[in-house]
Amino acid sequence: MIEIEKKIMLQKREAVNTNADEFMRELHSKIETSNTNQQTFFTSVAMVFIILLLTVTQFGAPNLELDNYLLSRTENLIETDFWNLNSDSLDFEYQYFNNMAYFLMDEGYVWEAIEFLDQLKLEEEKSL
Amino acid sequence: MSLTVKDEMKNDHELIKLFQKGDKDAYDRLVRKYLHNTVGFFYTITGDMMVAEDLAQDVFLKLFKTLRNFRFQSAFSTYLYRINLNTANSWFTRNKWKNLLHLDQIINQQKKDTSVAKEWLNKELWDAISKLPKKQRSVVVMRVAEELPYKEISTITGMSENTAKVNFHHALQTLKEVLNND
Repeated sequence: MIEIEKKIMLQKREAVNTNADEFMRELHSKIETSNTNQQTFFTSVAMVFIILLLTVTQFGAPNLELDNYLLSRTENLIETDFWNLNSDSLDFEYQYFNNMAYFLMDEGYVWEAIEFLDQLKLEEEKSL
Repeated sequence: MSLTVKDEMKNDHELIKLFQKGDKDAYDRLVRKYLHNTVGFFYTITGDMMVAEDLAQDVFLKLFKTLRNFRFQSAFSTYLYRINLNTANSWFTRNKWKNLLHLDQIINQQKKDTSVAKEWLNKELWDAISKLPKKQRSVVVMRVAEELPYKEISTITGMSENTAKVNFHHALQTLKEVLNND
């Protein structure tokens, strides 16, 4: 038998004295911790997935295109705010007609825009 | 009256079936049955009772998670040996750097005397075993720590009996060279 085999044969298993109850208690604690960690992990993954899904589908997000259009193009177009109701200055009138004309042109109502501008001319003539 | 291997296997399988049906006590009984054997296996490898118990707990934790999928195609002991072997291999890999740097050996060398000679020999040997290629290491671990026959080693590791013998022979040669050089 070669030397190394002798060394290996010396590696006889020594009897171990483990406290089984203590070991089982620790094991159960580890199992519980592991289960909690697993649940936390799955919950986190589910939450991340839901957030990603909502982000990708833009669930609940306003239709920005329409909103912006309405905000930029129609805000104060029909002046119904109470602080504007009694306003009848000439500048304001011009601004109103200009805005309305631009709006009609933007929308492709060319003839209506021309008609509107004619109406503006008539109004001016009347006022003169 | 002593139980035969088949009776043991049947008992284990019955306990596993009970556990799969939700009986947690069956799992406890199974753990208690193999506890000392498993801790002893890791104690032989690590030489440290605390580490051995930690590794044994890892094994039984893995067992708790995987036992529901046990398919009763092999003996439970073989299944457990496989988990033990994988855990031991992971431990060897984790300690690779420590072994490479010989951090423990520097400390031990200072207090090396006749009373710790055996411990020193064990440590030296297991450090050398940890550096073996995985297949050779697996065979040596099962032969030395569990004193298993080649037939069972071949079942556990999935290699043929002859391959196991050849791997063990190569491992002995390597260990001889390494330990003689040291």
